[in-house]
Amino acid sequence: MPHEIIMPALGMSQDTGTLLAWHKANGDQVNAGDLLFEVETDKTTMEVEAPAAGYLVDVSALAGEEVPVGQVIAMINETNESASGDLSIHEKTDDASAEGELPLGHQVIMPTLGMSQDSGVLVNWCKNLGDFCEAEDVLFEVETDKSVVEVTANEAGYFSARLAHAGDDVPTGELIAVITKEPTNEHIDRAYVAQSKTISSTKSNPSPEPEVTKPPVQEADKSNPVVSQSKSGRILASPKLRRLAHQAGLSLEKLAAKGHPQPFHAADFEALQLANKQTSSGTNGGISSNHLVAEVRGDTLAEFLSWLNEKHAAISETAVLAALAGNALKVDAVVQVDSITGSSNFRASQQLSDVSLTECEADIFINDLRGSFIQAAQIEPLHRPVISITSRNEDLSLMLSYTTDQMTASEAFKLLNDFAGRIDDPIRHLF
Amino acid sequence: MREITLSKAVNEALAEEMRRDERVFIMGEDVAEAGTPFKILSGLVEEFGTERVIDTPISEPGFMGMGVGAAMTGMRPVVDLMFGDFIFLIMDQLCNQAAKTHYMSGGKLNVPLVLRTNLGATRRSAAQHSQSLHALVAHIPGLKVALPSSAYEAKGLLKTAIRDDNPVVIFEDKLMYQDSAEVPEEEYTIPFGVANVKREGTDITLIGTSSMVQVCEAAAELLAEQGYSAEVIDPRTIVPLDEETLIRSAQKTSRVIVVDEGHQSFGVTSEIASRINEKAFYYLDAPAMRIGAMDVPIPFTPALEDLTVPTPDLVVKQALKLLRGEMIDAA
Repeated sequence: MPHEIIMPALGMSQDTGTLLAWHKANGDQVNAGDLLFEVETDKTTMEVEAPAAGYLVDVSALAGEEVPVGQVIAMINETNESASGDLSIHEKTDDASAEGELPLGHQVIMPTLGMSQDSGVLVNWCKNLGDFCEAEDVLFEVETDKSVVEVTANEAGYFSARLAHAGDDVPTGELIAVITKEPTNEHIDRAYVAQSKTISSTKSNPSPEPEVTKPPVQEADKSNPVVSQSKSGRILASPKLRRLAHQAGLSLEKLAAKGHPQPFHAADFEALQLANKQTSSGTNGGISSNHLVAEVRGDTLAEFLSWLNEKHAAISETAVLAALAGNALKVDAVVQVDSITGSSNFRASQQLSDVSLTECEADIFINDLRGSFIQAAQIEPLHRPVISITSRNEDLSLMLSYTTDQMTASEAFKLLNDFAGRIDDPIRHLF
Repeated sequence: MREITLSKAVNEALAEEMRRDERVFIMGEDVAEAGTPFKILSGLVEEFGTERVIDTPISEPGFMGMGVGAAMTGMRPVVDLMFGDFIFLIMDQLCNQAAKTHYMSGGKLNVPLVLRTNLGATRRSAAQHSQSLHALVAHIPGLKVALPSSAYEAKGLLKTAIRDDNPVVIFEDKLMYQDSAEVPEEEYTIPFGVANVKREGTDITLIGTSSMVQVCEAAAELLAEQGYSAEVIDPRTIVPLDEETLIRSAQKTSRVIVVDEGHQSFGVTSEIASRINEKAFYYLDAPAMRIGAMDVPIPFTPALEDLTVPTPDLVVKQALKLLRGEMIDAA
């Protein structure tokens, strides 16, 4: 099997090398370890040995020539005939996923980062395919024996071909990217595939199976030996669960998307409810829940409430809270206050005496946890914003939980600040 | 309350009905002096004489035909078919004549005939004397089918059968003749079409016929040890079938297994499971499952014969699959 002799990788920033001298001629028989040629690098002269025994053939670079790193400059063949055809690493199209030819441009190789190192793990790309890079931009990161090293692009241009994926272990000298002067219509994107004829992979890991770009993988199912999705994409669920879900207006897709093991049964109803309630950021249109905390003195409110209890015992504490919160939200807001004693809905009013119980659906929920041991409560705002009030010593902590589709950030700031202000000075805000 | 064997319960039912109505008589092979090979009818010929306890020749088609004729002309025969397997010999008399006469005569003729026979394997009687063929006759419109599961049911159902003006086939489990149960001394009957919930439960419903009721009860005990609550129901009659009780139970527990000693395919389990599927579908957390005898001629060798019939362990194994929410594949 013919071996390719390439211009070796010479250092991080170097992409060509000057071939100083050949020590064997075209057609010569060579043994493994024989000195083949010398190359001049930035700092020194490097001697390159033959990787295998055979005949040196197909010599294509002359002494004195400047050769790009990685380019094939000769072959070692079993006989002294030309090694048939192909297989410069760069021109050969990848057999695994024959995706077309590489664009012409500056070739980026896996650099040699240490004397004893012959491959590096590409930790990640710092530019996206198609991006423009300046020469000094960091293009990718490589993990060496000792650390993770940032590698610059070295050439300004468009990142048009990517021949290794994050996580790939690439022998030094291998081509991993191409930077073109002009942006290209199509980008080449492949995982690194070890070429069987590459010299440099003698010591590195045996070539992996050709990888295709992995499609996003659904969370694997664990315990149950059960299909997570039937072949037709149909969600498997018992008739009972389907009925329960339908009656509650819950979506089975949401539970399936979480990778919950199928088939679903009635016992999965709670998980179904949870899946439907969770508004996860980023996966469904950017609805996320946010939380704000305000701290406010509690003594003024306490005083007010005890005075109120004397003078107007008919007005309950919860009504007051409802009024303070409701008025901070909007005119005539309906506030549901949940406390240890129970839950009540109030329609707020500027006039405290006008605050009344109502059956209407709440615009906002208040969790009154004052006096309890609870220090903080971050509640998922399922349908409406939630404000949880907890107490520590004299002070009150107010946490507002809301989703971005319930109110904007500035509305939330205003609401909580306003509410806190009213608690701070209740008399001024009521009556 | 006193306990008597199923054999004695049947004997009592017949004696009481024969005393009550002189048109009632018994006919069959070896029913008189021998009291049948199972010794159920001992003493009856002594009380009622050979005109009312009649030994017939060994000709099932012959004496069944005579029974149908007698019923059509005013008598109330109880025909004894020695082994349920012989029902094949009397299908025309039973299914074409007895079953259809009332309808085809425009209601002018009744056939108040009771066919008393048996079912049940594991007696080492081999393939032609061990079959449970009640599904065959349940399929025929015009016949009622009763399946007593104990001495108590045997007496009550038999009396109801004798008093019914329609042809009724009652299958006793030949393995149970010596099994005792509490049977009141006072007169009682058990109505057709009323299922008996023998054990209440919440997690799974086990429906069993005949001796399979005991199999289900044993399975329920085993399941209880594992923390599961099984409901056990005895339909008592499959025609008419008390669907309502079965459906309500299915709705309650959301899981059902039907256990029957007929062959699994094309039998009673299939019918009941199918009705549950139709009428309790939206309540089912698992498919309604069937456990019947294997679809093979019943073996003669004891080890193999025992493998072919439903057992409590088989029921428990299936039940656990449903209870654990495992994926149920058709075999």
